Amino acid sequence: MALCLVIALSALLMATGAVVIERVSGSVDALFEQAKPPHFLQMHAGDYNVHALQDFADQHPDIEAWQIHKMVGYDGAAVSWQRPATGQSGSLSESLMDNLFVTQNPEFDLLLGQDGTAVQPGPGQVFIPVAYQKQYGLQKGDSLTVAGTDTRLRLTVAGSIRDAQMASSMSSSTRFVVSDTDFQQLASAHGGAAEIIVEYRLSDPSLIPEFQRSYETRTDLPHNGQAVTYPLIRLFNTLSDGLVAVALVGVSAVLILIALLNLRFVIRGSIQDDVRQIGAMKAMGLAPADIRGMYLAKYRVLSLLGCVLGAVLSVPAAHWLTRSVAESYAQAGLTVVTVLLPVVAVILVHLVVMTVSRVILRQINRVEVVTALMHGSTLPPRQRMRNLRAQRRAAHRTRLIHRGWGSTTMRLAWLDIRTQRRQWALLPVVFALAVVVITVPTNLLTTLTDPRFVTHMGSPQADVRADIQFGNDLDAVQSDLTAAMDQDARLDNVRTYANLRFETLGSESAGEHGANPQWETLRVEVGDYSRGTVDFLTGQAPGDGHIALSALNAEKLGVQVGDQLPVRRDGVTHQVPVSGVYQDLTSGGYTAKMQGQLSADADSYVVLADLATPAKTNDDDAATAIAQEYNQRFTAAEVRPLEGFLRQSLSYVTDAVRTTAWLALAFGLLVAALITTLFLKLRLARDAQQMGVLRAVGFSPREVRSQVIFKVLVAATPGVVIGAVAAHWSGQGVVGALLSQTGLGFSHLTFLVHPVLVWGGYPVALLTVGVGCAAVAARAVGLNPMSAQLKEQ
Amino acid sequence: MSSEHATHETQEAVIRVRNVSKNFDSAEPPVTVLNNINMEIGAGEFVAVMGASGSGKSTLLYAISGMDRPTTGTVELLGKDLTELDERSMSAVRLHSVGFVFQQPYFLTHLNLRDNVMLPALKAAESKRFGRRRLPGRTKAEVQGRVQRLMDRLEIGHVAHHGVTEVSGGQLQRAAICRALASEPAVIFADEPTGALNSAMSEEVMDALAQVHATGTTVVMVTHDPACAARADRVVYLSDGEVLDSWVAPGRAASQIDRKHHLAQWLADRGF
Repeated sequence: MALCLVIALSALLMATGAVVIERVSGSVDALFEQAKPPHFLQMHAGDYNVHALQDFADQHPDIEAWQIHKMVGYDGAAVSWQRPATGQSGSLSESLMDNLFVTQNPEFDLLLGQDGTAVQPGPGQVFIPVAYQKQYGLQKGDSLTVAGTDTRLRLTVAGSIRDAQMASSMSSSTRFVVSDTDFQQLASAHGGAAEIIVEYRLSDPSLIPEFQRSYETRTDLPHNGQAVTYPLIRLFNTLSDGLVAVALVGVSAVLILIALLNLRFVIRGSIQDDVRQIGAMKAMGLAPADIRGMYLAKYRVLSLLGCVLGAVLSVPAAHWLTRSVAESYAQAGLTVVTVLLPVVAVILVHLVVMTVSRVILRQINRVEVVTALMHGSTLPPRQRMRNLRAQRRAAHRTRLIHRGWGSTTMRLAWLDIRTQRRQWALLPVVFALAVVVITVPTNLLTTLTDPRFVTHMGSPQADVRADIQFGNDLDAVQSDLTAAMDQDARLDNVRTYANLRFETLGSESAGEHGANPQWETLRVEVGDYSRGTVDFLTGQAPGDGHIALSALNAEKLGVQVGDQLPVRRDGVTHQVPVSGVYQDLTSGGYTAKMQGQLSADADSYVVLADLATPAKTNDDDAATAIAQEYNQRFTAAEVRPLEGFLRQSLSYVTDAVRTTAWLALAFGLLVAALITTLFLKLRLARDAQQMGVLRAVGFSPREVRSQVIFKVLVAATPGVVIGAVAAHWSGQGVVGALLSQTGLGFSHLTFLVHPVLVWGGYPVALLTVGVGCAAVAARAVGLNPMSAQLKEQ
Repeated sequence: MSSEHATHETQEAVIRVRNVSKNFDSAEPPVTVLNNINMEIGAGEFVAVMGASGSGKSTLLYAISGMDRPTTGTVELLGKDLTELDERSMSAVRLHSVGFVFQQPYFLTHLNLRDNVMLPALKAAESKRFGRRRLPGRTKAEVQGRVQRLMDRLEIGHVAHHGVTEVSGGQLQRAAICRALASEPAVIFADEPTGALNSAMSEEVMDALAQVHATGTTVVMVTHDPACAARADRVVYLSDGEVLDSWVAPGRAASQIDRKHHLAQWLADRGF
């Protein structure tokens, strides 16, 4: 029964994972087909040259379509909502997103309504992002008021939109669609920040990298914002739900492994129990294949039952997990694949179980008639003698009397488990795997939610971060802002970095020793890195005249710490040594850092500050309050509490990982309980005679039960410890490797663990489950008459 | 013919069995294995229980030794009513007051012979109390020394460190007797201790039991073998779960051969 349930759980997770992958992928495909997001986009604020853009488009016949998508951004505090029917109201001030008001695009990058068509708001109407609909419970008919410094525009919510480009959590912006007239009013009002996105659709998406390089080499094109490519947009969209699906499949794989180990234990035990019958059947002339067939039929039924149960349960489970997918993306139609994929996943589980059963049942071939009938052994005579000799040697070595070591009851249990360690090996392995299943998603979750994680993302740890990238006089804003922060007693350790564009020789040239050298843009953050900075994977922070590269850049340029990198600015080329490599998730992961004085005319600036100690201790929300205050004072800067921003921008992913972590915890504990119960049921049946002997010579049932519990503890504890260590070291390696495949800029992941939970809470929870199951299973010890126990063999 | 009162005349009774019946209701059809048994066994007595297969010999032994509970009736062992005891107290009785020798020598295969023998004695030495009686403390070394002497006496001291699969059936059964004696119980119960042995080994085991009895320990033994039973002071004959009759051995002066003849004649008269 327990075996059937473990198979059912494996099948359930495998099928659910398959459905989630298919639904997410299908929904995103459907959304992308309808919304046609751009293949390459460049964000920009400030003046730009339309003729240069037209000229660039004329030179590139691979451009299928292009457009300048105009937007006007408002701070969350400037946008409020009202529900006339109930009198409820609120603002979007909690949101740290950029709220961008736009009109519908004519050809591509369409913003879709819930029916999948491009929304066309009339005057006074607004379509809001799905995320806000969920976060604030906004409904059709609610009012949305956008307050400029001198005007207020009241709009009516006409519905929500699915946004292929900015729906994802990784985007720090979100879009509202309004009519042309309302857009004009918002754009002309004071208080909004005008921005544009230059968007391109290409005839061949495989040309995107080359196209991006080509765009970035043109200095006359808009460029003072982030450039994003189609694969990244797609990745952002699938990451959160995809992560859940991948985790489910991963957990399922571990469960299948547990089920197979368990299967081996059950089948071998069953052959051992029936060895005399098997011997008799062989003596009567039945072929081993026929005998195997009898057993196989039993496990086939068991596996089929488990798989069908798992498949049936996967329907509501997948529905629950994908309930938000259709809302955020598009409703993908049910296809043959939707049905086939989970069915194939379940059939795969069944086939694996049956194949392993067949292999284990081959042991029947080796059963010899005489040995089976005379000695009740499944082993050939020679091996049986070898085992007997080993048993004798062990008996010679054992000493019941041992200096100062516990009671006789516990000493006996210890000797028993030491001698029968091979039979008990299943438990530590299962507990180790259960710890891995439980711990890895939690470690990922605590890592993503840890404030120190920013240093893994390429940003130094700070309480407040200001980005100055949009506007006509960035230098003046930067200088005023830095001065204000320096004088602010609530802030400490203010440091400024300038983002400059250098050029370096591209990857093609690096690999081919200068053949066809091609200069390409390298974004470099220049500032003082001597006072603590990001974590470096290799090497160290850049000193004077040195450069540090993000992992993606180092890989792309084919350089390591100590190598010389040619960099060019204003026509002057320098060979700069690489001091270190760090991980970066910002700006698409392609960044660099140089030690140096701040220079004017930077593309953008980043100002970081820490809270002074009194502010830190007085108010947890101090950073948010200070950030809001600076946002109002310096409208051209975007000031955020760094931790809050990180929490909000990663919330989709962390929510998804949190769901997975809970699921994994439940499944891990359940499986540990099931396997322990099944194992003990079989083990106790086999040890019934031995326990009968103990009771006969004066051990009470309670003492015999305490031996069972002790043995479970002794077997499970090393498994739990090994599992916790493995989850920590290899878990972060595996998850890091998987994340590095996403192309997000993750090349290395160090788990930031919750030590009490991982090294204390989870192991204790698992051991408690094991002990609990042992206590329940061992209750049978006192129930059977001793005479009956002694006759068991 | 449901009662028997041939208590040992000169010694105080260590076992009193009153109206004991044992039913197996879960069997199909339900069976009554013991039917209203009454008997007493005196201190230092050697009693053999005989009867045809299925007459309830082993069931009686289990019921009066505290290994199992009767369905009705009372069993008094050393003044304690076993039917009133909970599982824990029953375990304590098995540990401190009785030793049991099974037909099959049940041993723990991961321990050597000495540790198997020593197990109950070590366990008993750890106990501080038994009922209201405060137990004299014993050290592990004392237990070890006593067990070694016991094994030497039954001539298995030289195989003490051997595994249980390395010695003969006779040696194993003598080890089982040692184990039963290790915690110095007042009564030894033996369920067909020679049932699985050849005649030479049977002799060895019976000699060992005779030695135990000679030290004053009460012995209650179930057997099929008249030769073994002839070593007893008294033979209780069971038939269909009831005590049919009992044989009392001729005086101590009678030789073993005379006792065997006497018992054989008595059994033949009862159709055995």
